[in-house]
Amino acid sequence: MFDYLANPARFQRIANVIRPLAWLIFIITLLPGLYYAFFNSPADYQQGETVRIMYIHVPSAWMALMGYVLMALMALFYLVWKHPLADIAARSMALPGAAFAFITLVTGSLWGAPMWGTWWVWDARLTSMLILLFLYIGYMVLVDSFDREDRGSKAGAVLLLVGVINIPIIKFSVDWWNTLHQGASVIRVGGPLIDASMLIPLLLMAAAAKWWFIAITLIRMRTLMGERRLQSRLASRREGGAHD
Amino acid sequence: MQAQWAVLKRDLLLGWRGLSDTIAGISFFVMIIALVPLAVGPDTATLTVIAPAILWIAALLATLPQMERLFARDDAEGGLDHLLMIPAPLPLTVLTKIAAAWLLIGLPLTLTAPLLGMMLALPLAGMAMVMLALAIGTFGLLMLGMIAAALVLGARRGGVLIAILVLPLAMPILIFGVATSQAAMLGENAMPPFQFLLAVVLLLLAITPWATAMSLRHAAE
Amino acid sequence: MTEFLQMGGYAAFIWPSWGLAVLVLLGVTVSSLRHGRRIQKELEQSELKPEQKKEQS
Repeated sequence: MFDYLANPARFQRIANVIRPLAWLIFIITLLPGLYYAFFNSPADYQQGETVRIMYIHVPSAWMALMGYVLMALMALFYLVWKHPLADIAARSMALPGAAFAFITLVTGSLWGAPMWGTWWVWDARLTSMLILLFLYIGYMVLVDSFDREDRGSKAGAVLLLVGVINIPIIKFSVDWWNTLHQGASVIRVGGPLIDASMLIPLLLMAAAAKWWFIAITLIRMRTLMGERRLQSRLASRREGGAHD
Repeated sequence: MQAQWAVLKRDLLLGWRGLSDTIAGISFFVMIIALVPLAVGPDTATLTVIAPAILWIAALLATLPQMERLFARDDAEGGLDHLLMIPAPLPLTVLTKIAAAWLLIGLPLTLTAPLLGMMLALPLAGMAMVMLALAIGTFGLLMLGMIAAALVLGARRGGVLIAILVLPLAMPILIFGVATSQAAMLGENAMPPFQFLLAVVLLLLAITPWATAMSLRHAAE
Repeated sequence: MTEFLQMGGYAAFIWPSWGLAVLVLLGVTVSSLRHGRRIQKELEQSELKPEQKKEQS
């Protein structure tokens, strides 16, 4: 499938079909998701109405993690098959992924404030997410630090692979550290016991987040491809002049 | 093997000539630690509690500036091509360079640690374990530094970029290193965190040479 | 309505959460769309120029 999609023109044709579809599914899942999240789901017996933060917090956390894993997958494709499209995909996912990581952190803090009594608790999940945000930022800065674009792409791809191997270790070490210090997190964020009435809005919002991510990624990919075409066109005109 | 000797000797020789780098690194390490009592206050009880953490954070900060230089010298003199042409697997050569860097900065840091531990009112009983953990931990940090240094070759920004790349990845080393040191200080069983530290560093050992070699080849293209 | 907005006393935490999320996601959306449109326009312009040159010469 990857080979089939690797042709930029063909990819663009398919993307042009998927993009409006992605926006449509985004809206279709978002509206009932919001309805359930605010009007048709119970307040938690322990956390009261604050549980409504979960419907944005947990999908964001999922997408932040998934985004990084997808980027690493693209990095693998790029390093093995050397196809620029995989690099363009990885670059395009970085900003929306980082946005989700950021949202996860802030909503986690806002959720934690009434539950924990402070704005920030060194809870294992929040801490891991903070490190994930740093990994995103590192990638974005690195990729953008080279005059030669392909150097940035390759360095970024290697970093993504090293990062994705390290994520489980980081997660494990932070969990281990957290149990060692047994922080104030009495209530597990997005704990395991979820009632069906809360699961419906959660899954709807997760689907909305995912399709938004897909739509934005496709838009950014088209932009990046356009930018590259523009650059090569300008370069060839500078060299060849009328031959173009 | 001969080629590896040559690389090691060359790096150590360069390091010896530029001994000021090592001296600067150690001075930096000492100064960070000297800042802590000045900031926190001279209360011995408080210092003992935070000393292991300070020791590790200082070690982390002191190795960071050294990382930028790991390949910069090779790159500037066209030595990067030389490095690639050495008739030995490139990952092995990378490993040799890490060893040289460790001898130049990791080992001196480890050896200074007990002195600084005394300044921070650490009980000397667990110091051997702390030093062992620091020796292994700095080796792990330098491996991360090697990857980052190879990644940023030819980049517009160097130092800060390396810090941004290394620090999140260094988190496990920091966590298990500090935990080992704390347990050793308190006379508790330091083995569980120490084994985790060892595992993390061994895993890095399995990744780093290849990731670094790959980036070096990309940089030389 | 006010009861809904008060969110059982947790309004100060719930609304900023959603507000920030909307703001960030909207920001990414708008900047992605705008940048895309600008590049598209530049591409079209760069396609025009050579032909215009040919017509003139």
